[in-house]
Amino acid sequence: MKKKKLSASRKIFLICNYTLLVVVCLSCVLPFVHLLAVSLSGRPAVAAGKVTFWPIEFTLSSYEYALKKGDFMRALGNSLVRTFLGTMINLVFMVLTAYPLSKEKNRLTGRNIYMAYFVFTMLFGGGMIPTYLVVSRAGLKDTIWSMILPGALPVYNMVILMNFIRGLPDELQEAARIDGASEFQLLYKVMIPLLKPALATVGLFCIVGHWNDWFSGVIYLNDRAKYPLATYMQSLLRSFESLMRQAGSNYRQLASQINVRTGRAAQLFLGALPVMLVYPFLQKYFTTGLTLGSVKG
Amino acid sequence: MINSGLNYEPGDDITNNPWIRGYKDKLNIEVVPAYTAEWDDYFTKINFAIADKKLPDVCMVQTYQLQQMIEADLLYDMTEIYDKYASDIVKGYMAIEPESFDSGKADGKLYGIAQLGVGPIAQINPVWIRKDWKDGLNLEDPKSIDDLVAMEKAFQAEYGSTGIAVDQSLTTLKILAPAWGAYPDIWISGPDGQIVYGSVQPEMKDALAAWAQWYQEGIINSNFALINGDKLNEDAVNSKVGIYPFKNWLGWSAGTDMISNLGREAYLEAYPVPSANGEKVLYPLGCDNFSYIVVSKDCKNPEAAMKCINFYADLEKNGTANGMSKEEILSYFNIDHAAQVLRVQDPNLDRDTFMVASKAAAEKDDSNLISVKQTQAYADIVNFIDNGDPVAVGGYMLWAPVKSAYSVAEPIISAGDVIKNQVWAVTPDSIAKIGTTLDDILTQGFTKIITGEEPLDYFDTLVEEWKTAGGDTATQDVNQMYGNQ
Amino acid sequence: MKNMKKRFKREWQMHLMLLPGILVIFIFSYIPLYGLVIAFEDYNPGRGFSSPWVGLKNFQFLFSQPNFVRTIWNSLYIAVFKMLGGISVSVLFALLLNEIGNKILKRIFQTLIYIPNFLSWVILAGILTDLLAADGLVNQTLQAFGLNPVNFLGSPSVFPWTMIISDIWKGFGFGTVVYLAALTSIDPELYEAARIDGGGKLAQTRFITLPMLAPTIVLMLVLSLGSVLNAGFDQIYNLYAPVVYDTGDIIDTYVYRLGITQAQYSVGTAVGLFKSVISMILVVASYKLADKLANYRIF
Repeated sequence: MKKKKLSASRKIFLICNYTLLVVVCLSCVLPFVHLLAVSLSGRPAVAAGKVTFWPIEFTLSSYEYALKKGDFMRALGNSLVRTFLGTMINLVFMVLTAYPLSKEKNRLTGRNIYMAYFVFTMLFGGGMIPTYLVVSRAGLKDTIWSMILPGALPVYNMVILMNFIRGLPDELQEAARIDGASEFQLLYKVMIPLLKPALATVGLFCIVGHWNDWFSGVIYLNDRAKYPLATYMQSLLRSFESLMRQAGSNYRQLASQINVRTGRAAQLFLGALPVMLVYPFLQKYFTTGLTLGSVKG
Repeated sequence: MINSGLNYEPGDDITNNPWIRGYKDKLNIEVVPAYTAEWDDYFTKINFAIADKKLPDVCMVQTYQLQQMIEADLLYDMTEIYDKYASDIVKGYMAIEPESFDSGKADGKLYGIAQLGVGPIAQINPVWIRKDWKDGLNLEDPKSIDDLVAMEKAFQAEYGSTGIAVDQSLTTLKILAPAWGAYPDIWISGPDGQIVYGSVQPEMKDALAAWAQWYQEGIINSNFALINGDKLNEDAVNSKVGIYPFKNWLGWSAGTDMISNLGREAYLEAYPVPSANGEKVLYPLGCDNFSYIVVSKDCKNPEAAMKCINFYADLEKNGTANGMSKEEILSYFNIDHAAQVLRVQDPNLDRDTFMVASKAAAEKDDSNLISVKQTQAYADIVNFIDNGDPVAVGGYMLWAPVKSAYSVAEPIISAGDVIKNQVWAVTPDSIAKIGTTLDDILTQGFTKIITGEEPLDYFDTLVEEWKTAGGDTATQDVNQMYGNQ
Repeated sequence: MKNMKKRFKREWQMHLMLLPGILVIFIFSYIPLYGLVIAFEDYNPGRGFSSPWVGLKNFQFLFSQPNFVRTIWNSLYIAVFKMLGGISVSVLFALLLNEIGNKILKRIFQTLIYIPNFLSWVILAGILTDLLAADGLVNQTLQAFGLNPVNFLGSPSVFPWTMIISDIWKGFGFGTVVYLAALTSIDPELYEAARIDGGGKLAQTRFITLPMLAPTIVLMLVLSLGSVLNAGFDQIYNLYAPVVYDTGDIIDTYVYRLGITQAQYSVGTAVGLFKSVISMILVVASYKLADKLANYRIF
């Protein structure tokens, strides 16, 4: 059915809508542009607060400094591995947990007890030190698993996913079950394709979470060579401040070109850009749910 | 172990650098870094290591961590090893600051070897004044607080200064406080022999009265309550600040950018804090020993740590005297962070360096420079004088023969015009537990008084509030720990 | 007996699916819970979890601090408005975005509003202090329109709202993504039917979209109650100043200044436990309420 001609009120709405969205999007982007400009500006101009949206005294020193050593590429590699592995494990754990929990309790004995078991951990935690001790005793320290396994099942995202599953029509599951499919087959063949938009959504949260987490790298990794990008960048930033005062440093001249602010801005771009590039690709899946058919009433 | 991850020569890194090779070649000690982390992160790691009871053989810890480790019996008793192996140089350092050395002991046993600081000279905070402005108006050096205020007024009229630099932490004003005989943030001997907190003494009220007056007259920037140190520097770089009481390293934080933006003469000169009431100004002096070298109870060769410490001290102190060439020594000190865990500072280092380097710079004669630090200080002074290099201004403002931070501080230290913080290194539990929240009450209240939101007499209410919030307990505990000494 | 066998046969696969999650949560979330004992101890990391037992002393210490109770109120105030505002704005933008016909434009908008999520508060704080300064861009704009300048960061009455609004701005992209995903699962036939019945866009939104979104809204609401006393440490720590402590100091910033940096773990853990208990009460209450009133069960 083709749409009729737009009514006047609809037109006004659309104009307002676009205007509002453009304004809001600008407000979201401009800080980013500002940071890009800062990261490309010379230290004196930044220190004087002169830079707004265009670099002044253009220089690549901050990037040069951050990229100078092979460490950056190694950290980038570590981050890619960690994010990929971590997100995959997150997704597997979330799906495996969310699917059974989406059943009513007459379909899954003890369902509510299971649920309470998981939700409880969203509210209560033992704190950093006991968690550290468990990770250490489990022999995970200084390995990539120390950053992946403790958070293998993100309960918050799992609950979101479970609610998505609940929203799906029962009929499809029933049909498959009558065909004699096992629960595993059902999950794999029927549910996962249906869950793509939801998985893309929670997957995005997991990706961003893994990518940005720097603190677990600080506490669990002793070997700098294993640092993910976020941790590496953080440590690099800390050394900016002492850079100038270091005796006999070869980098002193460089230090007159960068400071904490330009460095931090460059850090942001080098650190955030890769994961931001992933986002548009995931978005493709966000909208594929449209043709799913009826929703549980 | 700490490392900045930055300034190694090509091919070198944390596990292979002149220090590591030096320990190996000269002492036959294999040093393997257990951690590679920046300053804050390093101490976080140590916290976890303590909880895990898995310490590296040797590490550097903060005071509270030392206490925890002693209590948990994780440390090697270094008393004998220190007596037997510590070199005369190291023992000499400790003799300069016996309180700091003793703070590493418990029950008479030595568990933590104090790393000491760069010495009292670095603790004297001067008032920095824009050179080009002061010269431009042909003003005299400030002899009193009134002179300083008059100078600020002149700067505002002529150069558009927005006020004496003050930020929300009140750090800069507190540097001026001794002008009124007030000593905020440190514990001092009261009139009756009791130890009292400087921030709540009547002198502080005098200082606040003046500052509230300043605020009214626009002598200090009107939005100080909102801005932080970064913003203050930005103001300085934007030529809005002519008077800036601050630490000795201002040249690095603001100086470089001021020169780059405002030109060769737009740097700051250091002056002593002038008096407000004609009385002699004494300067607060605290413990600058923040960390200790400790050796794990399970360490097989605890004496190795001591040898490494000696190695550093010897290189730093004697330099060329050991028959090494300047270049050879320089290769070590190029990466001064690498040895951080295994070094004890010479508390007179900065003072000696200043004496030698500034004299050499004044006479343009570099033949007497023996240590790396002296060479660098000299190079900075000369480089700035000759070339106006923005990168060198930090060193210049610190080391220069006249109107530098150390040229102001040295006579003060020599004359002993200081008031010592009675709390040295170890703080009582009650203070550690309450963190900065006690001081926050005061900062908040002082801000209200200065901005006129509360009258001056609110100070008395504030003191009561401070006492009930834990100030009384803290005072008692401090007196118990440090009183009658 | 027979019944149980039948159930087992039908359900064992699902129990098996749950096993990995249960294990990993047990190891990394439940085992560390023994660490909560340090809230009742005078904890020394070196001595471990058998440090001297002090009962409720850490709690007493906290509540005897003159300013602690104030921070609870501030946290609640800021967090509740952040939560409500965040949800409304996210839903609004999900609906507005959904009205965009052009797929590419829609995707661009959707990407852009997520960008602030990548900026840390340390960085944003620097930008915000400049923007919101007395002579900053925002106040210049206000003055251009003949309005009085606002002391966004220095006035105790305005500060909490500056926090609330800037936090909503930073975070709404996240919520929007969730709601958009929920919108995609609404059956287009419903709209079709409404159109045939003559329902306009507004009516469709009112009677179809919002009711269909309601479970997700309730879900996000209850989930965010779990952290209701976390009013945003990173944000406030980087933006506040002593002048706004009266209204802007929250539990986490206060506890931070109490000396967490000096490894005062006991007090920190006590606060954490206190927050957990409050959150649990709120979550359980709101869960029951949503279940009773609207028959939404989110867990």
